[in-house]
Amino acid sequence: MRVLIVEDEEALRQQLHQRLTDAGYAVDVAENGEEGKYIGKEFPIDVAVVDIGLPHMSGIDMIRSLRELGKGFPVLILTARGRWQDKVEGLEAGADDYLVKPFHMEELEARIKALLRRAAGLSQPTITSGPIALNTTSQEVMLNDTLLDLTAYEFKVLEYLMLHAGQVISKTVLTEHIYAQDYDRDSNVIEVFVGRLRRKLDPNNEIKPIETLRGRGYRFNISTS
Amino acid sequence: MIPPSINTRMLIAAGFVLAGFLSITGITLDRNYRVSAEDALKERMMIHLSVLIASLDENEQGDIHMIYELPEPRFFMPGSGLYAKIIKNNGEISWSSPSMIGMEIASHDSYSRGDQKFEHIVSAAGDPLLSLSIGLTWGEHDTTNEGYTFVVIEDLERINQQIKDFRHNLWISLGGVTIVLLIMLTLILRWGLTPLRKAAKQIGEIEAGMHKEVEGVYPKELSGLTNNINALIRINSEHKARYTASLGDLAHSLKTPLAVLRGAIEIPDTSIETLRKTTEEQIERMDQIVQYQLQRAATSGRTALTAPIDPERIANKVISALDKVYADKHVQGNLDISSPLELHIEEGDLMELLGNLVDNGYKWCKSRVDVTLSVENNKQQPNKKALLLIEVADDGPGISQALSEKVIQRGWRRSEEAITGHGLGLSLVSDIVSLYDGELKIKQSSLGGALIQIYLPL
Repeated sequence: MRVLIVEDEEALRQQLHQRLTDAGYAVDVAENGEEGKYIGKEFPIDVAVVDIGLPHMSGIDMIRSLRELGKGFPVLILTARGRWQDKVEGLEAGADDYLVKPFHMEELEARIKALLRRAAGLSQPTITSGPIALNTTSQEVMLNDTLLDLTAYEFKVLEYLMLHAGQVISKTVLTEHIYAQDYDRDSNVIEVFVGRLRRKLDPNNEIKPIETLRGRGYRFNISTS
Repeated sequence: MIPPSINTRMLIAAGFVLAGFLSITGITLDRNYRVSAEDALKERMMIHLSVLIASLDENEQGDIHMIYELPEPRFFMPGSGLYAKIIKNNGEISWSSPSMIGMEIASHDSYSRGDQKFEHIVSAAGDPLLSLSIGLTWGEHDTTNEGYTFVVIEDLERINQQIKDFRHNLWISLGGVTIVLLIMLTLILRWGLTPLRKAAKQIGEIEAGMHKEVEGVYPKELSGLTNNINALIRINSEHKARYTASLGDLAHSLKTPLAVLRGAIEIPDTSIETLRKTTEEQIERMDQIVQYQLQRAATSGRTALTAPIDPERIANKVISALDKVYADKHVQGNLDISSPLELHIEEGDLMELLGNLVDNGYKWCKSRVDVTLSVENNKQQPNKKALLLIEVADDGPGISQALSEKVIQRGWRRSEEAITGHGLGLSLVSDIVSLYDGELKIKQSSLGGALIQIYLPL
């Protein structure tokens, strides 16, 4: 999952970057509204964390212009001022949730997860599909009530595919959502992750959770038959 | 450029109006006087002429002779200004009044019988004269040659002098009237503008620190202004007092957690775990203090000259914002408004109030929050203003009677669990309500959960 952080305070920006990278997100950072708008416009962002008190272009203006460009990814606003007027203004401009500074990182991560779930149309932290249950909060995957041992990248690939179940996801899209912009993109790595996931999720080749569509990408789909 | 004072403006305007009005009056009077003076003169000349004609007769030789003595003595006084002559139509002067001795007047045309004419002429000495000539014949003589032209001449010097005197007096008195009117106007203006001057002086004295507010009773055109100035001053000082108090509270209350932190690092051999825990606790505490004091100071309270706002619009904004935030919970947020309402409250304050209340509702409810806005008549004081009743009801666990008191105290938290928000909501709401002289009640809602009632004067 690819997160955009727009925060002008360097220390906080670095903390957020570090923390969210550790939590397994591909992180893009911007220090002002203009830069944030550019990244939000040009890259496949899944969720944005935006400080509304930015220099030059305010966070609210940035969100508004991204929404006008048709960008629908969820946005969490960070505000130093706890006034409802600010919160309501931000939410009206197109943000989906708010967090008042100072906040706990756990709280921020929980909100980001909730927004991603909500964007995928889910209301529970656990995405269940057939025998597979993926918990976005604990980052655990259960197969028939047995805990699977997945690496961070395997989890990321599976999470993205399950959140977009039924949709064809190209290798490029998967790469972009799993690695940050400056990462060397090698689509072979994705093939390796998908191969490993298939073995772990479907050792007996029965349910075929991840379908390969030649030249187009992958689709998460549990055949109910 | 400083615009001219009201006094100057009024005086300039009134001066122009007066000057215009009095000039027209003066010119009209002057013209009418001249016309009527001339008319009177002409009438007199007609009488003189008639008398002259009646006093004369023609003898057998065809000569004119006086049969009666002329009654007007001015005909006999040389240079009196009233002259008469009778000219035969062959040009021969038959008779001239004794007053004409030494006068040279250009000869007149002959007039045929019955012709009559006024003429402005000039004497040889250059004096303006008015002459009245009439052509006459005696008896059966009907030939022009044997007729006479009777002429009465009046010197215009006198009447011109009269007109001049009149004009002189007229303009002097009109000028006098203008001056008197302007003086009166100045006095009236001074009297009329006294309350304004007084208010300006009072404001000056407030700036100089001599008064706290604009004192005294003002006429109704000004009382709105002075009352609002007073309200602004009051609110301003209330705000200042609140800012000062908040700032003081903030500084003092931050000292304790700072002292704890300093103590923690100064104790030797404190484990990193203990330090981290202490820091975490104290940061949490400082955050709460800062947030509470900031929000309290940011609350505007009653303001003067605020346009009324529509609480429905604000309530809708808050509910749709919260619907977004609590999208996962699928809360049914209902807004019920009995009638269109207008409320004099600062928009940010109402949003803060509704935001905190409805947020609490969304946070604690199972699935439903009802927001009701209605107008309630003041029961204790029926003559007083009606009240706006804001009710927020939820179907959550509710607040017990014993806890109700605690709820509105600062920093009280409903649960020690890591739930979002800081339990400051209701205490802030309580602050705002008291700033607007309102009332906060905590009850049990019919939905099973908490019911918060807020009464605000409309």
